[in-house]
Amino acid sequence: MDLWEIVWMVAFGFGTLGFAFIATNVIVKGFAEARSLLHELGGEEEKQEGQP
Amino acid sequence: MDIHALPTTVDVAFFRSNGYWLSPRLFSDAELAELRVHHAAVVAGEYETKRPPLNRDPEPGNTSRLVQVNNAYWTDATIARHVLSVQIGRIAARLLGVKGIRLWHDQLLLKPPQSGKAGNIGWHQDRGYWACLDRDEQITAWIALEDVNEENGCMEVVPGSHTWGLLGEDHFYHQDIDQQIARIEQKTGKPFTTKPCILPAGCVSFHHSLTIHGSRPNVSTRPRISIAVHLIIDGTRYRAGTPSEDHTSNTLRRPRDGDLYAGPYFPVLFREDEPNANVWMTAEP
Amino acid sequence: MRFSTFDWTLVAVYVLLAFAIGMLARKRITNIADYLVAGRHIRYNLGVASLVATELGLVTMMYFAEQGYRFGFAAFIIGVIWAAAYFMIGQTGFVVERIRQLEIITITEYFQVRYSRGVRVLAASLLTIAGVLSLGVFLKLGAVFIVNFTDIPETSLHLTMTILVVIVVIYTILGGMVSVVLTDYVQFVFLAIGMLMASVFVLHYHGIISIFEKARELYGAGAMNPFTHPEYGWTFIAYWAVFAVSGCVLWQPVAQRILASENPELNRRIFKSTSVMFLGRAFFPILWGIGAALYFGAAGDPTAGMPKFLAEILPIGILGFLAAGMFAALMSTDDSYLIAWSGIIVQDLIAPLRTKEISGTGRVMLTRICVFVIGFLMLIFGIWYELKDSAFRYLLDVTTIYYAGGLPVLVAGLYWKRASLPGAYLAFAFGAFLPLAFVAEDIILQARGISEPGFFNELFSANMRGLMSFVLGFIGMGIGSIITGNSPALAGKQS
Repeated sequence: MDLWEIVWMVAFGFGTLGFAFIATNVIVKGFAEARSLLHELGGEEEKQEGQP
Repeated sequence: MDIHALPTTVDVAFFRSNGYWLSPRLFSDAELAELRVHHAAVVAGEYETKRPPLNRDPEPGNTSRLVQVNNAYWTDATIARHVLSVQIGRIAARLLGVKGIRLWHDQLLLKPPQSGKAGNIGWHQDRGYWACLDRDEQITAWIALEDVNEENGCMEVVPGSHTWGLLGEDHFYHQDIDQQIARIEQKTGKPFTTKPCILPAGCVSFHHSLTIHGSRPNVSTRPRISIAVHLIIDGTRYRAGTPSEDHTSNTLRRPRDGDLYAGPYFPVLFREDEPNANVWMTAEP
Repeated sequence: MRFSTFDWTLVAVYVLLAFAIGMLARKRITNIADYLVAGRHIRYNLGVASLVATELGLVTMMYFAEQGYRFGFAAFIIGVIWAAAYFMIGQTGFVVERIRQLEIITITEYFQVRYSRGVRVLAASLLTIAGVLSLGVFLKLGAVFIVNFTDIPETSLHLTMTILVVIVVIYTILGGMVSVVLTDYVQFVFLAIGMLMASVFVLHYHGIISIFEKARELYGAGAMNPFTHPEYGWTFIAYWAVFAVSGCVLWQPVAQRILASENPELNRRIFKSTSVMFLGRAFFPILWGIGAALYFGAAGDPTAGMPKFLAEILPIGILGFLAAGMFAALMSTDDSYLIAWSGIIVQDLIAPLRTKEISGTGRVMLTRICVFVIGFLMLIFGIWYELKDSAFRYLLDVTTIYYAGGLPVLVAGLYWKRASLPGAYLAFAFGAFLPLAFVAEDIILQARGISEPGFFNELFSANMRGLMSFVLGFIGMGIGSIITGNSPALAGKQS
């Protein structure tokens, strides 16, 4: 096994873990953020409709 | 530029009740000499930065009537340095009692000698041309590069007229300015008394955007040269659907209703709580 | 496993769902777009999802896989450098932070303010040339993927391209599924899960450790070292590093995330997280490409290999899931590129050249016409033009046409007081010369039916040509600014 094989194995491992970690976070927490964003916009819309 | 000269509380009170204020001398002889050279170059159409101004009238070389160059600071590093100066912004902010000031546009001016009636500038309120701004209170700094007085057609203001509201009497190019007076007096029911802004070179007059002002012919033998720096309050927004939608400054970024005037075309000159907000300057040779 | 009816159903459901959400939420989404532009409430996780989704197109995965197929693990260097560039920009705020302080929202606007309207128009022209030349490849690679991944017969590649372009153009002209945070988020979910799963299956098929051993056998010992690799090497690494930085600061859809934001700190954090995602963005498709090469052998088709291979080894259901994600990636990327380029043509080319204002409706009309024309051009070009080298190489060359001048003009404008207008023109001219000459020569030779490499092809290696373009760009800026001497321009304060 040469040096670069090890380098790429480590890099791949790091990249995969980092990808999986951030992706999980973004998917889970992003869902809540998306809901609150929709909620906020919906609220604003209702307010606008209430105006003369 | 004298960076310590600031309006006192008495000066600010004067501005608030009269709608204008004349500064002490802010520019040194050396600065004035340099500015005159650069002023002349821009009038002649020689643009140091190779970048033309936003617009101008008349074409370079023609000085038979009033010369106006808008956003001359694009064309010249020295002019830019003074137009974008923190000091002008700081004084303007203090006079208006606001926290921040941006440039609306500058205007390099030359009133030719023996101008006759063609040198008249009709009585007007700047606000009339700036209806697209969502606030009434804006301010102009008018820098005298030569001594200005009644002989060379200095600016005249109507003290206190900034409290009269917008009259809709905007005739910048109206040359029969006495006829106008009668009409305005009739409209407002107030006596129309004017006050000439006599300034030694290097002094700056500040006037409110609702203050009525105009000027008479230059009967001297030398051109009257100056730079007007039109300023807006930081946070001013665009109001759509006004007659001044086509103001040249609006062509720069085509704002939508409610858009902030911000960005590189309306640079911040001064912000009270942000000492480094004035980020633009010119690269010097 | 071959693409089944169930997989088609999955794709159809996804497409219909996405379309329905887009149409129903149109009003709300417009509000969201305003939100993003105003930058008032950028949320961290949605921000990452949006940046990744925007920059993760099908074409990216195709060219990474192609590199993996041809050159093995050494291709990982592409992903590492790209990620490092994003991380560096996020960490230091290089260029973007300074432009943001000047309150400038678009890069072309900076060119106008700092130099002149002419520089803006020149930059936009080069960007348009680069755009039109590269979109043909986008279309072709998209069609290659679809044909090989699904059960559409390979003979109908051109038909698939035509249908794709019609769908993309109609979709874009109808207003698309305004590609903003929410749709980006949905796309992110599909792609992130799909990519991870596909990689698991590839590793499962070849074995985690043994895929490295097999690759060593296939590509030869020592082929993993990018510094000595004949395709890459030092010149490539230097070239690709400046290219990647250019991509962050010059490509508006990316740069605007920092420029138009009132919360630059949060955005820089988003950039840093995204840089980690970008490792995966490159590693996974490269891995699939290597898997395909091991499966079909080095003599196979490196472009079609990856989708063909995945179609063979992925189980029913996963195929449909990934296909839906890929299709979304293709649509959103092609759609946003079409819009971006049409916008550049209308705002930075046509509008500044006209003395009269273009009205709002006129602008919309013009943009639609541009979308239509570019769509037509990309079809003609995509069908007609044959790539001599890899798609990645070709895209590098055409994009360098703009980047090699754009980077010095931007960086010198911000950090060098003497940078002048003649310097800017020379930088663009010098920078664009080699890649433009190379691509033009190639097109002319093909039009004449000549298959031998042309003069510019043989003048330098591909890597040297790219690196030299950037060097020439900087030299042009230097010479132009020094020779013209006192040409002070309006610049930001040098702190």
